[in-house]
Amino acid sequence: MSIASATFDGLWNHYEMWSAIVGGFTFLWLAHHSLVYRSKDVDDDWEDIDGIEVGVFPKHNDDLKLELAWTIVPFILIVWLTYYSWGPINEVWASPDDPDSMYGLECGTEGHDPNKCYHTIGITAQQWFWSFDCNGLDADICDSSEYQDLNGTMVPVLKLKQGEYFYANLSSEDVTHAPWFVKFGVKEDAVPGLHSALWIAPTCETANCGGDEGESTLLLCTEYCGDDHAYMAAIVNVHNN
Amino acid sequence: MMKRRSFIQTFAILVIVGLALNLAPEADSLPSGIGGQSEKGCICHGAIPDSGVTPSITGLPDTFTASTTYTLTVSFTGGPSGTDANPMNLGGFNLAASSGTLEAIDEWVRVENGEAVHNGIDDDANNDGVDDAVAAGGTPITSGNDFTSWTVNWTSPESGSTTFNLAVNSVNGDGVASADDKWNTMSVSVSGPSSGVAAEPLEPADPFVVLATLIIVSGLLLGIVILYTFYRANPDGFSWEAFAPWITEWLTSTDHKKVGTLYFLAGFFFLGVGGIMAMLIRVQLAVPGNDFLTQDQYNQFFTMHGTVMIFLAAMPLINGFANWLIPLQIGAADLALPRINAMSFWLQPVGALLIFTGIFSGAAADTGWTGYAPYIVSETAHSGTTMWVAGQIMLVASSTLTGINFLTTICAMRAPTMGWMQMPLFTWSIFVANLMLFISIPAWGVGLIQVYLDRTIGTAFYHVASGGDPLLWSHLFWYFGHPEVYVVIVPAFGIISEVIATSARRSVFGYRSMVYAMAGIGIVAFIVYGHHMFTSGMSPTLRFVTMLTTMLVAVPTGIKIFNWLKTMHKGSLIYRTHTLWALGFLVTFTLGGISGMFFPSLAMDTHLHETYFVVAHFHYVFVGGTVFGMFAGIYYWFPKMSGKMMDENWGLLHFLTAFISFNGIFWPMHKLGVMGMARRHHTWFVSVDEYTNIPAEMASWNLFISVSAFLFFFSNFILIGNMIKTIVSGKKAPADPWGGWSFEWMCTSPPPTPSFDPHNLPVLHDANEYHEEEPGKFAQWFTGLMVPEDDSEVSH
Amino acid sequence: MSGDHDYEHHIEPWGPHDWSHGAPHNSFAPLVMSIGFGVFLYTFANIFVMGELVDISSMAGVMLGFIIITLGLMIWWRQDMSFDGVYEPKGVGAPFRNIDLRKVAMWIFLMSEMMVFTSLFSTYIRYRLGIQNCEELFLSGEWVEGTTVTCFEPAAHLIASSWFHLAPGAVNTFALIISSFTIVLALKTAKMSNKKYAKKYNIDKSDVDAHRSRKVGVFLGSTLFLATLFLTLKLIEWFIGFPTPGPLTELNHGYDSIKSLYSEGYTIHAAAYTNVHYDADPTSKYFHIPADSALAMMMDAGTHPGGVMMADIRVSASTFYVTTGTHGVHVFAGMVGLSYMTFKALRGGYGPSNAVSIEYFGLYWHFVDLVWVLVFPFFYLF
Repeated sequence: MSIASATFDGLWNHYEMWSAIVGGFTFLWLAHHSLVYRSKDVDDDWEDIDGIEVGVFPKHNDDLKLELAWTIVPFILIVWLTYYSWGPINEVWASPDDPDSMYGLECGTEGHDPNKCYHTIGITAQQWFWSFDCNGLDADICDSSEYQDLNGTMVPVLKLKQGEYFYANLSSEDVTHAPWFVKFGVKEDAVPGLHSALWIAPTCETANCGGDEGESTLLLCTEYCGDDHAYMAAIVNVHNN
Repeated sequence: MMKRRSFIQTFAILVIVGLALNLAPEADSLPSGIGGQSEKGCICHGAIPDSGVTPSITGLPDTFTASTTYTLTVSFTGGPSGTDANPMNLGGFNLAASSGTLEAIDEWVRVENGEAVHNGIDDDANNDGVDDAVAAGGTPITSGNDFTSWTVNWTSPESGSTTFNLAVNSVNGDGVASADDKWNTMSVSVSGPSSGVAAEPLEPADPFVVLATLIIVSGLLLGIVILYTFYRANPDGFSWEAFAPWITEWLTSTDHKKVGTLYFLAGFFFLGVGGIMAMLIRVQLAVPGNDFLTQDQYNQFFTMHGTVMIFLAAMPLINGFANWLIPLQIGAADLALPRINAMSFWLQPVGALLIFTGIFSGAAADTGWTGYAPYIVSETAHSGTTMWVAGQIMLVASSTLTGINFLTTICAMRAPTMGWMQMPLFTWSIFVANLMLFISIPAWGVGLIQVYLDRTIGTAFYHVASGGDPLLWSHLFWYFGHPEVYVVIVPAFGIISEVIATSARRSVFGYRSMVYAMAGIGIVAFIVYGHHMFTSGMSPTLRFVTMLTTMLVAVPTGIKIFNWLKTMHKGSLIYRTHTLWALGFLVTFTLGGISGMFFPSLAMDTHLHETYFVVAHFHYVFVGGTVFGMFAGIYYWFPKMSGKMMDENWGLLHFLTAFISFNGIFWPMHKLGVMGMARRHHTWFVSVDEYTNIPAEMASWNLFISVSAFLFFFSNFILIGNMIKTIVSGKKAPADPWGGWSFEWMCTSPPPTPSFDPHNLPVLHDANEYHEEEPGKFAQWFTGLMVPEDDSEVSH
Repeated sequence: MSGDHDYEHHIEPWGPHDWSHGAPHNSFAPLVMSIGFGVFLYTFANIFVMGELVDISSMAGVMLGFIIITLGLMIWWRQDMSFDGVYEPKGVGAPFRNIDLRKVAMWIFLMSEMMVFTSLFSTYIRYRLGIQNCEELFLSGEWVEGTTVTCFEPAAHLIASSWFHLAPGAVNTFALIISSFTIVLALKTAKMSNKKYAKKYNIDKSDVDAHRSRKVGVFLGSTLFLATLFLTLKLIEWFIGFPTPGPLTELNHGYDSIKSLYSEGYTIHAAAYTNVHYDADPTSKYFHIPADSALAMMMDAGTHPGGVMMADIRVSASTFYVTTGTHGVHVFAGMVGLSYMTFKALRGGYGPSNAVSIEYFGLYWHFVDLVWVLVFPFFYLF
């Protein structure tokens, strides 16, 4: 089941597999030992293997090989997980000036590849609104002129075309906010006085992308910003017309 | 049989109370009722009402006659209306009457859901993008918003009084909803003929009143418990004259055991208060679109919940254990600086009072426990934030003094026969925790002082317009904040090491690797904090580095878990309550540890950050780790502290109910977070048909979580009951009831004062063959520095 | 350790303590001082809100807070007064065997103090390097007259511009260094054995105690005096300023006074620090003039060439005042301790057996001195 972007799902499924392996191993061990080694004697009659006595530091109970084993094996696992998580970072932090990145250069600039280029848009946050700036892009690629009623509040609608890439410059007028594109699995803080940016690759869950109307999902604020934080939302509409 | 029945009764009552509390708010709140309107205005264009806009209603009688039609004129003045070049597009309104019927007179007004609204550009009720009038085959009506006043008919009801809620919107006419548009609300009541029965609806309870009342009641209960304890101490010689010196003794004591008990009292009290807040939060989140708490209250409650649980519950409880046990475990008479120790305690309740001044005035801090800049220094943050900061400064001072005390005690006051590598693991854990806290907390203290000064005398450390950097606060906070979360968990590691080993009747497996793992966690703690800022806009290089270091944390933590498991190997595991809690800890902490591994994976964290997945993770670690560890510690050491054995049956009941309900609360949260439920949000959006962030079938788990939360909350009263019962009528405890080896089991239960005779310190033997080793170069150098003062000049 | 400790429980929460019995002692000091700190923080936050004076009457509360803290200190001191070093708890665990616990604790405490100043310096470095320097910005010419720009104006730019401005800071540096010396003298005097002392000062052995008390008192008193001098000069430099009459006027570019930083406009509220100008030559040196000076008025009237760059220097001023202020608070805390120690010394409280008390205070005092040695160049010279 697709939760968010393909990137996220790939990482998630991989991590879930390792979690199940590590967790299963640990819990089987725990269950085994806590059942097999439970005391069968009466309280005061047990074999004292380690010389436990008040005021005496007990005999060391260790095994260097075992201890090294569960230092090194988990270390190898995390090295693998780090390596596995490394690749997708490029999708989050591609440089906008790097022609070899997965997003290419900005569409319309010199030397861009028409099949692999991105559009620049702007997202401005303020207590407690989002405003989107499509930078004069064609309305079928990016459109932010509509507003819709969401629980009694007018919120902006950002319409994006599926298959295009967008580089969103984030800015904030007052305090820190963070736009979260719930179904694209990305978010980044909009910090006042600091430039930050976010790569957006709009995706659809259904094959035909919701038909003529497109698919609508939410954009939520995920950095606490005051009174109306929870209702500082926007609607993101992805279409392929 | 009796016991069984009372258990079922208790359980049934808990379920009923839980369900009732969850359903009650649903019963009196409608999805789009007047409550919603007065909160947000009509289809409004701004978030907060603007006092520059003045709404008014004319045509209302002073008292109405039954079933009469009145023509009301609704109008407003002020706001940006008419400022635009476009002379049209002036504004809109929404009028709701609590009784009677509203009726439109002309085409500029329509009535929808019983409320009158202007018939303007918003004439698209089903959001299909087609004007409703056109869809109905007519011509579009687009000019209802070209006015600043409208008329509407109202037919009065038979009796009672009617409240009118009016929201007006003054727009600048550019056709785009934006923050430049202003709105405001008013409400007016008109009474009519009496129907004989005054059917006043019940006022919904104000959560602040509920909380304040509960705090006061808890305080009173605490007072009664204290008085009762005094009475029990000497039931025959009870006199009020004896009370003054008794209470003075507690207020002024510098004995580590008494101060430790005070820490426990404070910790449990605030654990309860924080729990009450959690319950109120869960009531709010049980159903979608709930308004049991207003957004404003909700924001304060989660802020206070976090602050209270970490700084006023977990830390004091840990200090309670540390105060009680460190001198006992290392064979010292008392702590190094007893008066300083009392000072660290008393700073806490006073700091807590400051933090709570906001609650009592209804404007508590609403910044989240992280208090991110620049919100924390903005005027939109509540006035109580200043006091929250002031209280935290006192807690920082307290922690610093605690750090000095424990570091000195553990470094210099171990019994001469006890080497560093012979200290009990709990002592090691407190040493590591205090070292981490001690080195990190000044940074936060400085950050707090900067914020305090920003909020009072007006310095500009985090004033963005003057060049202040919000990320600087995040750095100062997390430089402390991340070690802090290890400060809270590491002592639990210590407790579990003791409990597992003693219960399995084995020496803990890999004592040395346990110590190195803890030290490793202590060091790594300082270089991983950037993972809290993966989406902060911080330099990518820094984020990448902290991704690598954060992954590393899994290694020492894994070593500890595997060592604990191996400790049980070939042991003779005896099931006491503390054993159960320790095994429970292994389950929940492992789960919490595994979910923690998801965050350093950066591309995944951009989705998981600030969702309920995070909430689930840190509650698994804080509650499933720290609190479960401390529960194990309480069952383990309570006989030592009180001299009485606890009731194991009650303990078993406590473990089963709490362990199951705990998992019921936090396990579903993982999935909710991944599906799209954001933390610190007043509600979730499932009620909106098309635009949902969590599917409805997932969202309904929230109700399950809330019920579990109530069960968990109440199950912990079994522990409190058990403790009181034990103090009153417990069996007398022997010196070493469980078969532990460290010094605390050497003294009587409860231990004498001073805990050990300083002229006759206990001697630690070692079951291992002891090899005299030459001290290393570093040790030699350090010992060289430590040559005692040359006393030759001093005449004795 | 010497003496006979029976470790009986002594409830003397108001003091004085009978130290010959060892711990534990009860004390009201922690409770009272905590309440005092709470009252102080609470009422202080009521006086100012976001830089505006809203309720001056809360000043009474601040005073009350100080009084309660003082009361707590009085209790503490009353209990400590009788401490003659007979019961001095010593370390027993390696590697601190036979080291006084107080000494270990003091070093550990200084570790946390180091972190406090490290954090303050981090803040300073982040802003100093991260925000464009006012002078550089000014010389680059990328500013518009009448529009406020945000830039970093180091206080040193103002202070180091004139020897007179630098004078209080320079005197302070020497005052602190000398005070570190006087406290060592106090320690040396207190520590000397009676025999040696009598020989050195050529007095009768029975007069040693009185002689020593006076002498230790004088040294501690001098330290206290120098600390007071430090804070007084600091307040003059911040808020008051001082005249430069007669021939000094000439040396001071014709001005008959050195203004305080406050009246120069170097304040935390200076959202528009307007007084920066240059003469007709745009490459000429950039400097700061007071807003009400004749030159500034001439420039305002357009009768003098040059330009005025308006700068928002709130962050610069905040780092300056808070860092040097935190150091000042440490000096003040030292003064509070010193006044008690001077009092105790004059009452004959310090002798060879408990001279270490002076040493341990001295550790703190040297640390405060050392911090100043770092603060001075960073904030006053460069």
